[in-house]
Amino acid sequence: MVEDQQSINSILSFGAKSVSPDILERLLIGRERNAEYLFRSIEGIVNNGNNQQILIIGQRGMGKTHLLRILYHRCQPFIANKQLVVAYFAEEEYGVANYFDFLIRILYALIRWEVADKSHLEEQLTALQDVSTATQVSFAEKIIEDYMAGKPLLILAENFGDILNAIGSQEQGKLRAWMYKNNRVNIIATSQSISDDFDREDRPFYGFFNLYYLKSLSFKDSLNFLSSLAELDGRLDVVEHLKHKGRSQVRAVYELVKGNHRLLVTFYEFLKSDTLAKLSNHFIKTINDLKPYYETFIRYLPPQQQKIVRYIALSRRPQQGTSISKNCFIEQASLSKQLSELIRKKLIEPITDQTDKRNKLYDINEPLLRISIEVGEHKEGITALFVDFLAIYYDENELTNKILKFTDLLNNCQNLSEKKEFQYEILAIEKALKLKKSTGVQIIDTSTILKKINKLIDQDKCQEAQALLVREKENIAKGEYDDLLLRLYFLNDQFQEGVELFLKLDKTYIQKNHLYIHGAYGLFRLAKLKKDEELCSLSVANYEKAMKNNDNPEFVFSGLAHSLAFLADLKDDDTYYYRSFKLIQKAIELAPTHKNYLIDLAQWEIALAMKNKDRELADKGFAHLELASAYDQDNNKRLYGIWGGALSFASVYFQDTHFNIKVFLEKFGQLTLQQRLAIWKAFSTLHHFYLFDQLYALLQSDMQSYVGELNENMVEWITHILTYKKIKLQHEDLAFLRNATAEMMGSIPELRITQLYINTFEQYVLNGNKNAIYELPKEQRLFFEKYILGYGEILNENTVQR
Amino acid sequence: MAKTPFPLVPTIGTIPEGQIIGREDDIVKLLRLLRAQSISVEEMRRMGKSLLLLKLAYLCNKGLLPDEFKKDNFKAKYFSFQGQQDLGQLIKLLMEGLEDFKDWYQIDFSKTYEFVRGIFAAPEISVGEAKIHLNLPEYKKSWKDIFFKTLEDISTAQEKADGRLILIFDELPIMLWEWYKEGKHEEAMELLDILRERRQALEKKGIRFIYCGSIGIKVVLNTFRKDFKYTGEPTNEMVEFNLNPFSEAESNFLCECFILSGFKIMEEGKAESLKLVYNLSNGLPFYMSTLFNLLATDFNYQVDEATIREAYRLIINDPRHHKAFKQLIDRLEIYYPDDKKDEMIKLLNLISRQDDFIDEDSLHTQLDIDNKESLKESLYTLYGDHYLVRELREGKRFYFFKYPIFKEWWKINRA
Ligand SMILES: Nc1ncnc2c1ncn2[C@@H]1O[C@H](COP(=O)(O)OP(=O)(O)OP(=O)(O)O)[C@@H](O)[C@H]1O
Ligand SMILES: [Mg+2]
Repeated sequence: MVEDQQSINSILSFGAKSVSPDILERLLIGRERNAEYLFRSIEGIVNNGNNQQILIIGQRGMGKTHLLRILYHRCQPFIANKQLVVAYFAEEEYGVANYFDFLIRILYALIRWEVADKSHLEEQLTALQDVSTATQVSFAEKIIEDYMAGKPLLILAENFGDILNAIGSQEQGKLRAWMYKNNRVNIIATSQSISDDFDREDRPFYGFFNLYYLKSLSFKDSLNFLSSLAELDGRLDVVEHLKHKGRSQVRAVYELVKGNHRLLVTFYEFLKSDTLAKLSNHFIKTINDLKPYYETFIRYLPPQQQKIVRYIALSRRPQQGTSISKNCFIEQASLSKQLSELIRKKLIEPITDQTDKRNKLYDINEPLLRISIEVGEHKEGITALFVDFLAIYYDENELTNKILKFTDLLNNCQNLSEKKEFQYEILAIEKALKLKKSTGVQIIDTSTILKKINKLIDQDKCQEAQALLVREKENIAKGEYDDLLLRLYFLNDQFQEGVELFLKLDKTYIQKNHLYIHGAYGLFRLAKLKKDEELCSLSVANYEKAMKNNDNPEFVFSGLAHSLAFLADLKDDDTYYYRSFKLIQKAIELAPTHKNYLIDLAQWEIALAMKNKDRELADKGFAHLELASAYDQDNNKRLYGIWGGALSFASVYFQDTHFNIKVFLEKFGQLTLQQRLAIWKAFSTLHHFYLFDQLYALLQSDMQSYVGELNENMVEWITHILTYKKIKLQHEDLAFLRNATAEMMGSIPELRITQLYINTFEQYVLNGNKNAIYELPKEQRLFFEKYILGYGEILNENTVQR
Repeated sequence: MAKTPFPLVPTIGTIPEGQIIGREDDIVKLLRLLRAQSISVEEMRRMGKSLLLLKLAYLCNKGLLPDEFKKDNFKAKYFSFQGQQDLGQLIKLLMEGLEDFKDWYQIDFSKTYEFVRGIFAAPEISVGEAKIHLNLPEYKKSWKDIFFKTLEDISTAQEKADGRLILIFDELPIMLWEWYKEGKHEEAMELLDILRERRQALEKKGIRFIYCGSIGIKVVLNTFRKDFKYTGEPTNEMVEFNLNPFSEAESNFLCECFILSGFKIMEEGKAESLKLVYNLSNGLPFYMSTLFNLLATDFNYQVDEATIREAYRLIINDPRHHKAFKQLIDRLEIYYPDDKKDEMIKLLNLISRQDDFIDEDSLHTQLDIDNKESLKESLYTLYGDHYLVRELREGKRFYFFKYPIFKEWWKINRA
């Protein structure tokens, strides 16, 4: 255990190299699959005689050293069996200036790790020193090749990007040439990012390495990782703490470090000493420890890129390209190049602007990078940060308790400088408390995420909710995830995806979560989109299951009614309609004031009535519309649109009898001007002279209040009426229209042309004077021929306009 | 292909010479051509040039060639010139490679040895033992002589053996280009002259050259002609060999090898899956390897139609994975002047949006490139540089992307 303790200390001070392999294996949390994949490649080298060149890419602290160390350890049996030669570059390989240096590092690595052959290799190295410089390279190659003696060589190298950068393009060329000439040189290397050396056509290693990206740890992995650390550290109290309250703290840390191994280790210290009196000191120390580490991130950037990173970091929120350009004095043209470089280096992250999808915002990729820059920038920066951190890290109660505790300490303290510190502490905590109360949006644990998602849904921000859900997938139980995702798909009109998900779900799960009704609804919408009978039947079947499963009966009834009505349409089978009537009536019983159900019912009744010329049913339908109009909710447009439309259609289908339009006129007249405006617009898409005729008086008076708002609609309405073929317009109808246009022409000059159409129509259609169209100028003649004369069967008279 | 598949973990780097897949037909074609002349191979990066040549050398030297070549007595030596910084280093590289020839032909380097000693009056110099030291500036004037002398020794031995020796100079053009960029064009032209002067004489004695590179030696020559009025024709009478993608059989064989290394695939639907790989990758082994790499890392080694399509989508759409297309842009930027580059980009944008071949005139009317001659020239360059293929229809030239996978990438990421 002594050795373990030492190992743990090394881990805690970032020294993965001196940690015993067992412990490394035990801490391989979240990276098991990576290690497995890489080791399979090595097995390919040894067992199949293949070659492998892999570049592992991950930011600093993402566990690359750890992985290489594990690989090296797992190679031991191969090395012992003389099946593989491994050159493990365990040190940061500074000072590799050319290809020759690289070869020498290989030799050093062999000497360092292959204890048995040490003296032999050292002799060779001495011999090498005596060879003339020009010949040294080939001599070194030869030593290595002799040592390999037909076995494959595996080079495990860290920061390979830096090495390549240091040796330059030509020397890289020599290395690559060697790898093509000598058959068995393999490399598994790490790099923080993809530099030009891997990415430009004129560099030797362009497209040569298999790129293997490491992903950040998920929240769960992070939690497990910290628990294992605590376990190895012998801190069972911390392990226990992490099972309960500690979780949300880890959540806060996770938000900050985004699943970065090394940073998690740093915060483990913080977690461990939570009881300490002076939080801020500790926080500042942690940050200061991290600072140099982050500074290397930016130190080597070209000045423009440094400027950009600094600007975004200090803004503390994502920035638009234009504002970066302005504030950093960089021309737009070169900015985009710099930005994409920075993105490639993973220092900044592009985000789509939710308010304007065409825009991109740019943010610092790692929270702690921002923090380090802020800290470097000004002293009070750290206060603001500390406040932020506290607000995420503790809940309100804890913060209040801490204030009390510090106040106690303050009161009992004699030392002046300590007093000051306590005051600072209290001030910071108070600020944090205030911040927490004012924003209250910090995501801390699953239930908070879920709450946030539900809140977004309530606010009708379903897209955002879905994005958040998907982003937090790792942190939400699968059961909850699927359920929410399914609903969000439907809320966001992604019916195809939703249905696919639904059909994949387990039956008992669907039952338990009452998802039949959602699935059935999605199927219905998809069926409508695709006019697909099979999907529609499937929807019906699922509604029936929902009914058995006691899903919300009101919705089951109304939903099933809709599916059946649509099925009736698709199959042209009225019996479905009758079933659907019964069901919607049940829904009405459950929610008598729900106007939409009544409208649904009326709409289907009238449609069916027209199809079968069933006057009685039509009357029923109109009665239902009348009833619906009693519940004055906000859905006037739909009600009156359907009502007016139904009356118009009825005037065609039941030509011999008349319907009572009085109630309609009366109720319609009682609406506000504003409510009517939308409905006028809807009416203008109808083709019936009847409705225009009946409503003209009201329309005319309304027109005076809507200055200009209906101009286009009026032109459209009258043109539509002219195009309608089901009813033959008579001379007096045309006279009426002519009169109406003349009256409105004062405010709608466009109607002048409409009037021309009316006249031509009368001449051409009623008087049979085919030459009348030549009175029209060419474009209008073409329009007249094509649309007014030619427009015919496109309308489907069986469906009432919704 | 009668050989049985063997496990091969996908890689886009090197492959041991005994495991290089397919290319048998290409090698037969190459060798038939090599009976009569030297060859140049030019293709974009990562298309499989080096592995083809390595396999050629391997088959020659291991005596694994088809019977028709028994009497030709082919031997081959592969050199990669990448990174060689001057003639001195280059000659040293060649001489070090001669170790092998000593065994093959019992070449007597003593004459050269004497010769070199004569020039340098330096007793410790030896040739063929990797001990020669030619980098000091005072020796500079003699490089050419030494180089000739060495090649002569080889060719004489070669003539006696009545065989053919293929010297493969991989990355020759790139090396010259690097020299040019560093202002060492004098040296580059000197090398070109050496190769030109003696090539035919050496060829008569049974030596064959293969120049290989990802940029055309033509690009280098054109630049030299333009910038330095260079007039030599060092590649006259060399035929250009076109490297093709894998045939479907080769593609299937490579897939089988990959699969044996630990992928999961259902027997049912396997043939379709392999076909899909072949179609999506256009038979380019590099993309096949990339695709399988992704299947391993992102799709848990599962090979089926859905995962293949998804991996392909990543290759085309995810910038982390389509590195290897970047050369399409890079090449234009690196090897051509800006105005030419812009013109070629415009052309590629437009062509990438076509469903079929498009002719010069249509391109001219649809683009704001006034100078038709210049447009034609750009098209020709793109054709020569393997971006496009060309067809003659009723006397008109029609162009289209050479590989659909390039077109797809260009359309989505560039146009
Ligand atoms: N015959 C082959 N068998 C298997 N894989 C191949 C073969 N040819 C090419 N490849 C694949 O393509 C990659 C590139 O091949 P190669 O190194 O021969 O290309 P190249 O054209 O010489 O490239 P460069 O221009 O960069 O030198 C290989 O790593 C491998 O993934
Ligand atoms: Mg090559």
